[in-house]
Amino acid sequence: MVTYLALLTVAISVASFVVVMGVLGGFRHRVEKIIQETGAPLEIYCSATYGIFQPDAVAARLHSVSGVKGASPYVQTMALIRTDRFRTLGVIQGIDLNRELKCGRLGEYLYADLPVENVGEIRDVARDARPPEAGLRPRSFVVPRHLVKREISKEKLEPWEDPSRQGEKGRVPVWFRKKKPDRSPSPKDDDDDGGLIPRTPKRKSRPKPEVAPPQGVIVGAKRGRKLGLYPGDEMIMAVQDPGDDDRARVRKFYVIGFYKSDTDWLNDIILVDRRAAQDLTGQAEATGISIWLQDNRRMFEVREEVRKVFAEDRYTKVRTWKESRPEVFGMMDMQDRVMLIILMIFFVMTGAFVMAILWVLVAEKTRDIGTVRALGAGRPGVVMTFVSQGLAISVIGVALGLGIGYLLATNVNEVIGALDAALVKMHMGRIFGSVSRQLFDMEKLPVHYDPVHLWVMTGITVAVSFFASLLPALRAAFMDPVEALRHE
Amino acid sequence: MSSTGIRPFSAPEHEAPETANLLMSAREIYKDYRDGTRTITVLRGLDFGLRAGEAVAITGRSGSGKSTLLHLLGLLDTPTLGQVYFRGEEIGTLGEWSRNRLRASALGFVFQAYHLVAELSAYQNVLLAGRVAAGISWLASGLESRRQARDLLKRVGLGNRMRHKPAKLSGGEKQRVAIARALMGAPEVLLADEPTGNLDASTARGVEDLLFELAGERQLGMVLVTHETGLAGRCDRALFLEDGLLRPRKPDEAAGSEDHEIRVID
Repeated sequence: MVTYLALLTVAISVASFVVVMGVLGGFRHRVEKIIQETGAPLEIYCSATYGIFQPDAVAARLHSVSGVKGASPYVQTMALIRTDRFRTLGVIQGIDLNRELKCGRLGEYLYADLPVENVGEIRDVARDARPPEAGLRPRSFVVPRHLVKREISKEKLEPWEDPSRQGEKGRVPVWFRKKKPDRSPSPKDDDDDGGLIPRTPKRKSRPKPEVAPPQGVIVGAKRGRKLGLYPGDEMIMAVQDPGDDDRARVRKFYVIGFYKSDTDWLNDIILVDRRAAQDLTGQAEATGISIWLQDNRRMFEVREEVRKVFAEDRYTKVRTWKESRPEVFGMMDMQDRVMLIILMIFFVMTGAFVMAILWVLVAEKTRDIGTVRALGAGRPGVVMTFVSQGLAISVIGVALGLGIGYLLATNVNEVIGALDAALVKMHMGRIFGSVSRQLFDMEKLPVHYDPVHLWVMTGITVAVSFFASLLPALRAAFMDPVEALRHE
Repeated sequence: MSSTGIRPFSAPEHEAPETANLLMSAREIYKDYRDGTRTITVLRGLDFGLRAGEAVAITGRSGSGKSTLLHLLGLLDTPTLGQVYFRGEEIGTLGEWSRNRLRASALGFVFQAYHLVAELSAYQNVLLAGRVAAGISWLASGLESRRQARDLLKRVGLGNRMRHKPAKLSGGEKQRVAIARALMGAPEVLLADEPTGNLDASTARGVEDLLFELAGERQLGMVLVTHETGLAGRCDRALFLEDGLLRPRKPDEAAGSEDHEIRVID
């Protein structure tokens, strides 16, 4: 009975651990996959404002490095962003979209419209009901003609209150509508003054400045939803003018597409054309160079090769995709460390549990130990009996736990749904419903296992159980057989 | 080297013929126990001899050292002084491994409280002795041991109760299982500690009969520690343990066992 209880406890511990490990592993795997597929495995990055000198020449030289598939300079900066409804900050990344599409897998993540399946916090039923325009993926930052809206200046708008909502308590939204044409008499109507009143001469209209072609931006789908952006919407971006502290460089962009991404961290980046970004910042030609490889497994090897071609300095470094995002991977590394601590506690607990169970078992079986010694069993035989008992508890417990844990983890979203449904029935409300969003900002909890981790966990559990069962086993083996036989 | 693989006996010249003829013997056995600062001497230079096929009863008052002597003969304990011989070879000084092997191959134990493993069936309890006796060669001798265990259980009259666990067996049946277990591995000496002590008179008589039948069939040397005068009376010899020494059983102690002739052998 005690043995079965021990077995069940080990199994439950392992199962819960497997679920947590699977979900955290899934999160890491998903984030790594997106970062790897949308970005480059290696990059040269300059943190100083002056950027990289002659980036195109450097990129051309990088093409000759063995293992490099392609290289493309980019400009990255922080900008103040204004849309119709929001003011926010964003990371602007000016890229050569053609080369990115050619070398990386960014194209698979691009959409001309918001992808339907990626439903964010703000829902627009009419828009979400539209089928995703999968066939229409932006392939350049040129704004399609149909997306450029006719501009209406602010002076021509007047506040307008919806008459159907008049008298409502609280805040009633105020909308703007076009001003009605002014009915006041025009100066032309006063011509009958006989020319006594001097007339102000009509201003000559200024010559229209040369208009730059409209520039497009690609926004993270989730961020796009939060900002209420749709294709064709304007985004005004402003950065401080490097030549004048009191001035800002302001440029207008049009939303031409979205990239699908599961996490908010990746959604912060707004993609624009490199030249447009350079025009916006008015500064460096490039703040970094993305480097794609023929074989990503050779990443560290190629990094050394790149270092030979490109001399690093205090502010300019060649770094891997993980080193480029220390905030993301720092958090995940911290998460891994916490998991390691939990794992170690689990191992200690398993060991202590197996030891306690066997200690009780040895006390219970004292007379049987005396009997088998009388039958001729030696000390090694007695040790083996109890150690094998401890190992059986851990091996069967781990096997059961792995099975239960795997089943739970692969159906974690369904299990959470069922739990929530049960809780709602009991009028306790939904507890787990938004766990995936709260924790990972993902629609569903991702699950991924590294088989090596499972093997290591199994191996260590078995080893810990072996050593934990040694002490009670030795106690049994060194028992005086005569005393053991007399034990009541 | 002897057949048991134990180092040859090297006793003094005058003792050699005597011990050599005996299946098992003990010479000048002393056994002390420490109780805090006090030393209790249970056996004081005891001599004992057992011939092949002979049954010896050891009687005595409670605490006189009967079980201690049985444990010394069964190599479960070591004397403070003195030697134990098996087939003329000294076995008291053997190492742990050799003692275990000898216990598994040449000695069989029957206890008053049966000492069956509660979780195992009657068959598994008997088989357990076979497994212990076979040691690492268990896999090779597994089939043979299984056959032997079944035969022994049939022989003790429990052929139809093999799968029953001890809790489902009566006292007499449990002791029969214990006897079958003691006979696994074909021992030469059977050491029984109060084998009928927990049984009613009629059941005890049946167990006694079985013990003597099996010992006779297999020419076993048998040492029986008992309080039962009837059982002691059925043995070839009956010895009385008093003041740490063995002496022939007093004639008046044989009263009530007229059916059996008690032969006292020095």
